[in-house]
Amino acid sequence: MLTQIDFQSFRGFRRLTLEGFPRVNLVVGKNNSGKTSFLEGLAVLANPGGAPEQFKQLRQMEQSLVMHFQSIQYATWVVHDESLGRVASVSGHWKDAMRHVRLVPKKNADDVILPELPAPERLQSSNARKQQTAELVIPSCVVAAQQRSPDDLLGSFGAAMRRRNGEELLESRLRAVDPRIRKVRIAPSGPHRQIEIVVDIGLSRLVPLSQVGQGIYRLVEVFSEIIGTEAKIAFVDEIESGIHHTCLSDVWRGIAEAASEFEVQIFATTHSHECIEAAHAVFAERDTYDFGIIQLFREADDIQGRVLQQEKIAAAIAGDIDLRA
Amino acid sequence: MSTKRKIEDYDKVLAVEGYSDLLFYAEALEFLEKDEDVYIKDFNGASDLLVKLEVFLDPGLLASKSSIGVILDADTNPHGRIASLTNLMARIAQRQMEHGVWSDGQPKLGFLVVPDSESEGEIETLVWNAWKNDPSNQTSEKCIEDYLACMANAGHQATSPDKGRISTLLAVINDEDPRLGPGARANAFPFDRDEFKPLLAFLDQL
Repeated sequence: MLTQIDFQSFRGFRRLTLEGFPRVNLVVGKNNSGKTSFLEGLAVLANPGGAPEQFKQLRQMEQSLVMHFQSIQYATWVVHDESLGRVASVSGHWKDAMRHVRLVPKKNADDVILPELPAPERLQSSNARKQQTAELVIPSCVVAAQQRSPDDLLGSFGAAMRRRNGEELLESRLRAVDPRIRKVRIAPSGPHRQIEIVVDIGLSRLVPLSQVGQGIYRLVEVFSEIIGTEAKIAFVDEIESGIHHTCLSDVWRGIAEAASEFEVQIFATTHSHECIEAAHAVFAERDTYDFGIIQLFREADDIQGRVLQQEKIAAAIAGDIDLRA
Repeated sequence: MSTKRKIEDYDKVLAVEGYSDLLFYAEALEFLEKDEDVYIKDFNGASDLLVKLEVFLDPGLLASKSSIGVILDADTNPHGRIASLTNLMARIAQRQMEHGVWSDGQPKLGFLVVPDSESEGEIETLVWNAWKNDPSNQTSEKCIEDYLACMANAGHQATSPDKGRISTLLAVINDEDPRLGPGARANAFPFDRDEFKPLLAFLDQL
């Protein structure tokens, strides 16, 4: 698991050093406090070469906006203050290894600045074998705040169903939110017999997932990605999106089970106080309180942060202190 | 009333232990004609106060307010409470802190332990002392002490004697709600007495 990070001159962060990440982490902060940028930094650490794609997912870019990613407008903002001539860097500590990635805006032949996302340029670990291991990409997945199309979900949903306990976990969480749900599966549907995800809610016909409701759709999306992609680190932006606050405890029970069962470290963002309280209550019930809150605070042109563990989260909730920073 | 608005609407913040305290300090601020300027945050009780305070005094709050004050009860260890608060606030704010003294900077910070820096007790202790020292209350004071002594002899000892005294007093003069805060709202306490001067002087600088 990732235990510590150090961002330097990356997006809105002049210098951010945080440590003590548990298995499930909830990132909170006001609008424009750097929550999505924080996830982007982690995505760079997990997979430097794949980060551009994950940036696009997190920023929910439509095709027309993808061009911006390759334009000066987007690339420039990867570095905190490009005018200072700095490069951005992100470092992370895993149990046995440290990874350091530099992101270098660079003029290409067309005189456009592009972020250079090299393979880890410096790895330090206790021996050569570990170093070799650390060089591998850490499988990761992204669930953006905006829901993806049903077709985009098919791959990860199918994979989640094929994993041991995956189907049981996903369906039990959906059933907790909507007791009518009996089964979720992939089946041909519609006049052209196209493959899609369908839900058995006790009607005479199976209902396409897109017709069941936004909350269930969101849960299928979140759990399919966490379980189906075999990721070791998952980034979920605005995890409560589309989910009624009374269902959040059931969602967190599923997140806790999935994270533990499939050994996924989760970094999710939220704007919801109810989401924080529900997560705390769920993890407080478990044998291990494997949950923390990462608070981000914007201060002028910098962003600071801190990690809160159980004692402080519990005290804050008891004291009616708003943890959303 | 300051509690109706959000903390974001205020430039000055006062942190206190519980809701009854909040109402009391709101009245003290109103006495100073500062109640519209200050957001009062209560921590919903006395448990884990220092942890709550550490979480509450986050970088975002420190960056966005002009002054933040903290008033906590001494309970059984005034020196220990002062030492803990001094260390905690100095660590959070990265500056020297001293009991009852506002430290300049952004934001201005100060903390006060009540009834005072040497005595055990709570805000009720300070209020009781102010009330009982008024010569016009001498007879009533004896009634309350006699009542509490009688209850103690019957096996009912007040956990916090001064809270018991204040509640007993208010049970008669503000019977709708015999707690400190509502009592203050009902103008049961004389804020113009000398005993309140250190507290009011502290609040006046907020």
